[in-house]
Amino acid sequence: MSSSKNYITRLYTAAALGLLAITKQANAQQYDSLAVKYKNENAVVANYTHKIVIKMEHDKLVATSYVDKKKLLISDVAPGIYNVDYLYHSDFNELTDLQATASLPTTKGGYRKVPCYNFSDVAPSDYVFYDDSRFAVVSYTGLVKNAVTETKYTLEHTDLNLLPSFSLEQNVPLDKACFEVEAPKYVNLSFVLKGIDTGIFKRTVEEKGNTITYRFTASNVPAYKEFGNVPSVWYYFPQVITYITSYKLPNAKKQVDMIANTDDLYKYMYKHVRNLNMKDDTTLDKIVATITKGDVTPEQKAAHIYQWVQHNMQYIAFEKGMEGFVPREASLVLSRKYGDCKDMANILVAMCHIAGLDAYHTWIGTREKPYTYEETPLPLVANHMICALKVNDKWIFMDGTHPLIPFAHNPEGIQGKEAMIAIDEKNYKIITVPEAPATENITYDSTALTFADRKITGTVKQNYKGYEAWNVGMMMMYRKEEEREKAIKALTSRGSNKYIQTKYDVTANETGNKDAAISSDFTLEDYVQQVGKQCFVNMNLKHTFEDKHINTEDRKVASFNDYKQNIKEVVVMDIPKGYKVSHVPAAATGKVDGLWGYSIAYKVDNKNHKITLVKEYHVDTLAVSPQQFAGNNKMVADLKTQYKESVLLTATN
Amino acid sequence: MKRISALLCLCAVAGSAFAQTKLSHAKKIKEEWADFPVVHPVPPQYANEPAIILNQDVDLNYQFEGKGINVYYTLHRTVKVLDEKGIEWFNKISIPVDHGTRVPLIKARTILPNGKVRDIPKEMIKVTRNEYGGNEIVFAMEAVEKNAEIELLVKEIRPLSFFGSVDFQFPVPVAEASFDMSYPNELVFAEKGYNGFPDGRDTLINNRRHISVATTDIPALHSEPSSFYDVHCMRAAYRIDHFIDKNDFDKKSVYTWNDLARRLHDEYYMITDKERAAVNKYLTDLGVHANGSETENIQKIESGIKNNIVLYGDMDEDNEDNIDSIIANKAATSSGYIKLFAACFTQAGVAHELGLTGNRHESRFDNSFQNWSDLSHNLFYFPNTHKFMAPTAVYYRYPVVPDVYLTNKGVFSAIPAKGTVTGPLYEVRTITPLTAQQTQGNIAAAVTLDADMAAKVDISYAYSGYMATGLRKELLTNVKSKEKDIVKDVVSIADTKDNIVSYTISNATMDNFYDNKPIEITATVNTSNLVEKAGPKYLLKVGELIGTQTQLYADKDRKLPVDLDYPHTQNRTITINIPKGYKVLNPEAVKMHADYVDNNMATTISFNSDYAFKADKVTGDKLIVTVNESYSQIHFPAVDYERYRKVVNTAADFNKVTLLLEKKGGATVKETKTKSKAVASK
Repeated sequence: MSSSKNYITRLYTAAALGLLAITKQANAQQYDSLAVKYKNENAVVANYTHKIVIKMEHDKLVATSYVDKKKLLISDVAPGIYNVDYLYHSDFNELTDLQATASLPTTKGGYRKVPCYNFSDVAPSDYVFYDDSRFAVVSYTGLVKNAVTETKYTLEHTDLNLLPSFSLEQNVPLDKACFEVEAPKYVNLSFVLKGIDTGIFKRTVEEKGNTITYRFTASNVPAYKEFGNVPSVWYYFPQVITYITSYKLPNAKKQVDMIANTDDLYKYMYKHVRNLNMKDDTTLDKIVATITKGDVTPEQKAAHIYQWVQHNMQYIAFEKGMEGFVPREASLVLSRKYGDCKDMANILVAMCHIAGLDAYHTWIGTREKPYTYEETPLPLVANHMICALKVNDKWIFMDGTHPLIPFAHNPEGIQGKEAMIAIDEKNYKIITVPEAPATENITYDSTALTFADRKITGTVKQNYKGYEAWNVGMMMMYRKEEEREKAIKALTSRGSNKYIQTKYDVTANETGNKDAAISSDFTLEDYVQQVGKQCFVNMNLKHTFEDKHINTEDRKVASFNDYKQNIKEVVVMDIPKGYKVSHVPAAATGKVDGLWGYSIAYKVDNKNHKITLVKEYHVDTLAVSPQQFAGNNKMVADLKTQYKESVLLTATN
Repeated sequence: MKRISALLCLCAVAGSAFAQTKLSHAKKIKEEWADFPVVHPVPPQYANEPAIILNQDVDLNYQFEGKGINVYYTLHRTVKVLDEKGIEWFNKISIPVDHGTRVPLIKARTILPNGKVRDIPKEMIKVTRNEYGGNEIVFAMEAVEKNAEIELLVKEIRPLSFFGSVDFQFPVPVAEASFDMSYPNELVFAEKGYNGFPDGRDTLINNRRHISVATTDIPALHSEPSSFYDVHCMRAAYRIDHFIDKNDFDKKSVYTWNDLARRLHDEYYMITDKERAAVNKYLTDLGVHANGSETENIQKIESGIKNNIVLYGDMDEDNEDNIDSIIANKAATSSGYIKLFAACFTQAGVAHELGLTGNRHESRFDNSFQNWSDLSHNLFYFPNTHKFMAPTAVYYRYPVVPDVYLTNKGVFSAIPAKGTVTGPLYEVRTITPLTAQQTQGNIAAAVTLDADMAAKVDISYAYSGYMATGLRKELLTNVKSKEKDIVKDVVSIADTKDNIVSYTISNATMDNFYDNKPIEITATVNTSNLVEKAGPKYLLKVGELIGTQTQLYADKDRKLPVDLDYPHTQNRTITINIPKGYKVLNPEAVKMHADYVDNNMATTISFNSDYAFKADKVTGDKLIVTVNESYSQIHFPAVDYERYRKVVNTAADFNKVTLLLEKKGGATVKETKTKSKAVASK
């Protein structure tokens, strides 16, 4: 980090010494044809190369990235839009060289090269409060239409286990890309392609003397698009993941094993938690004794410990350099009352150990990470740490960063993800965190309504179990009064935006499964359509899942659900005096195996003058694959047709 | 590594921004740092708040040092956190540090409810960069729990500034607040409190001057829709009033509007002969003629500069404001840009005034307190047309300026670019918006229903004036592959992008602002959303064609005035091709009307919808629905909220309008398709 700043300072000095703009004729033909090829675009990345050179230096293996990106500005507005380049660097990827040049077209048809010295550093905006992630910012000036910016930089990779991945995301089209890894023959490497459309990469291997160059090229890459309902861009950006599995330096006797498999990865990760919590902490002992007093089973003890951490620790992440890997001592976390995920996991492990429980530090990739330990046995698989507990041969996970979820349940963001559990120096387990079944995430929503003229008056009652219930619990923790009322209304509102909540009540249990219940009295003006003696009432006040259509035009990545769930909605409408039921829509069902389904049924109760609509939905998967889009969309269209059906009542006199 | 809970992440971000807002303005000291801090009780009236700021004290101390003056700034703040939200808001502190500011002291501690104190260790106070590249001091408070107090003392040494404003009202209440200034005898400052914050008076004590203001029980202020929160917060504004020389005989005002006008003139109009020559040549290249139409000349100059000279935030050129190098290199910073505009207008003989105004979301112009810090945006005014131009807003064209200036006032230099001063040096001018007619958002739609009653809609959206700015910029600056996504955002009746069968875009380029030609998106959309059914009858949800309208149905006690973005009108014509053999049972349902009449009995905002029936034996009968809205007034006091609300809600009511279509010749409803038996309720 510091070296990059020094470099920036050095460059400024060079500018002050009067390093002058140089004039050079360049072959403009290439850019002319590119400007024609991309004439509807503002800019194109003409060439993007990233070369990792691995070599021996002072009897040590080192890795350096050389990155070069040339961007052609095609339109009049392009210089105003594309005059800044951002390059990521960190303590593990030290920025050691940075050069930026603008090639400006000359009247003679050539290019004049002008160096750019306008560099600064910014921190990315994310959930981490303080860390070493930085973007160096290159700000070009003096650009004109048809100018070419070229940003070249060098990154020293301070940990050979953390080589960067190469991905093709650019905010403008990318004409040619090339990723190369050049290494001596004695270095063994592995490459894994991830994302979608990885066929775009053409792979070649070139041997020259003692060096092998592994090359991945791509051309005509469209500008990236962001998609909704997907945990992260890593599910679809085409990317090459590179890692060194082993090497044997020319004069060395032994081969150095890097990370080639999960065993190696574990060895690498374990050192970060090896010597934690070695000192006794009487304060922590006392707390554990107090909060587990009277508990008999391991589950009771663990549940109390988990709740205590949830109630007393705040999530704040300081993660500079190795702080991103090594948890802080439990005693420090305790005294600060805050920590990042590793700190939370570590204090949970420490407290469980004090209580005599089998608890372990556990690395996991949240759903943002589409990787598995087997396919890519690398630190990049995990971005999170939790605590795993073994009770009677069963694994229970505790995520200290969730302030509310009940013991033995998992936050939705780690469902179905692999947990690497640190048993001891030699032993670990990889266990998949179970996906919560739909039967654990239940929404029951009932509406009782009457109407007079065009106005509906009614009551909504909702009972939540599982993730929805915990979301309600979180809302109760963080919102008060007017904000809370708004949040409740957002959950209960139906019919139209004329839904007026006249009264509400909410209960979020703080114990057990933390179920939640909401009730809301409401009025809904102008909902009923009336003409003459006829009243049309669409009892589908809620259109659940009508927005589940997935755009097929340009989406190739799966569409993800937050969790599996079952929903039951019941609407009971009083038939007003003096009306008869003239039409009730037919029942309907729909289902795509393995995805989701619904059923809709109306029932007329003549005796009690009521019409009841019962709708049930079940979501059975966390991901809808592109092959399933058509089936999904057909079902959404059918469901929407059902939502358009009204009940027709006719006045009898 | 990360935390799972998205909600909490949001809270954390909001909290940090909140803390930052507070600190970027700031405060002073009673007792600077008690050795044994006391734990304060919670004032009962604030028991339900997430937190309460027990004291917010800001002190500005001006000291002659070396050849200049430094400002010693002190903020002392104690917050009592009362729940999880309060903890989230205040347990992370971020202090932005401006360029040139030193921070000799930061102390922070948590005072636990039992009186125990936890200081922040020095090593946990970190310096980082924020996402904008500015320096920021960050640290996390330790051992925070409910009912703990978080005490912060920050001392900064800032470069001299003669103007400023310090906020004292936030989304949580402030029990005690104070604002103090002290400065050498030679300076005289003035302070003005806004929105109920007290005014202060300059006082001489022991050969130093002071302003001291304090107040208690500042209530929490919450934002409301269509309101400018910052404008309504209590704050203390200060400005230099005058200097006194040693003999105390030469009192004069400084930093007045007159001085500001002079400064504008000196900064932007003093150019060399070489620059002047470059400008003259440039004007010739742009086709500007001294005897040409003034409006055309303004347009040629503006499009010439904004289309071809790139505006940069910062440049590393030595002569960045030199006009000939700007023209040669086609690059400028905002000051160079303004200078070039001023020179072009001057040389082309375009009558104009350069002025400064402020963002009306942040503060209102106050002519009685000549505070330069509220004025940071340059505009040109053209006296012959009474219109404005925003020189550095590159995606705007004359006379459309960013709506954040509209109705605010500004100071415009009346010093002639050439020649001598004869009249006043400045004029205070109101940034008058374009009329409601000049900003339109119109829809023309034709709905055709097929045999299955599926709707095909041919629809055209047209935006002019202020309403055209965002869309034009989006289309101009985005990659081509995102165009349909942008179109989908406009064509709101398409429930998915897949439903847009075809579309065209016209008048997207910037020059269309000059004749206010609307940017148009015309699309053919197949949508299943518009028609519902009940047995053999069909319900056409015609109200949805105008797009979701803002609604204010919930009956809330309004505290802040309403401010809209700009005057505008919206005219929609919806042609419904009535399917052969069908009739519309309830065309009257589309008729709606609401208006707001001002004190002069003039209608300033209104909503009207109506219909006309058009028989057509060839192509089929048509129902033509017209929906017209107009908002020529854009500011409404809180007391008039209900009258404003009525119009807005009428537009929102139109969204619910549904037409019933029935087969001609008596559509006897075949009583229910289901097995359920029709029954008469008793």
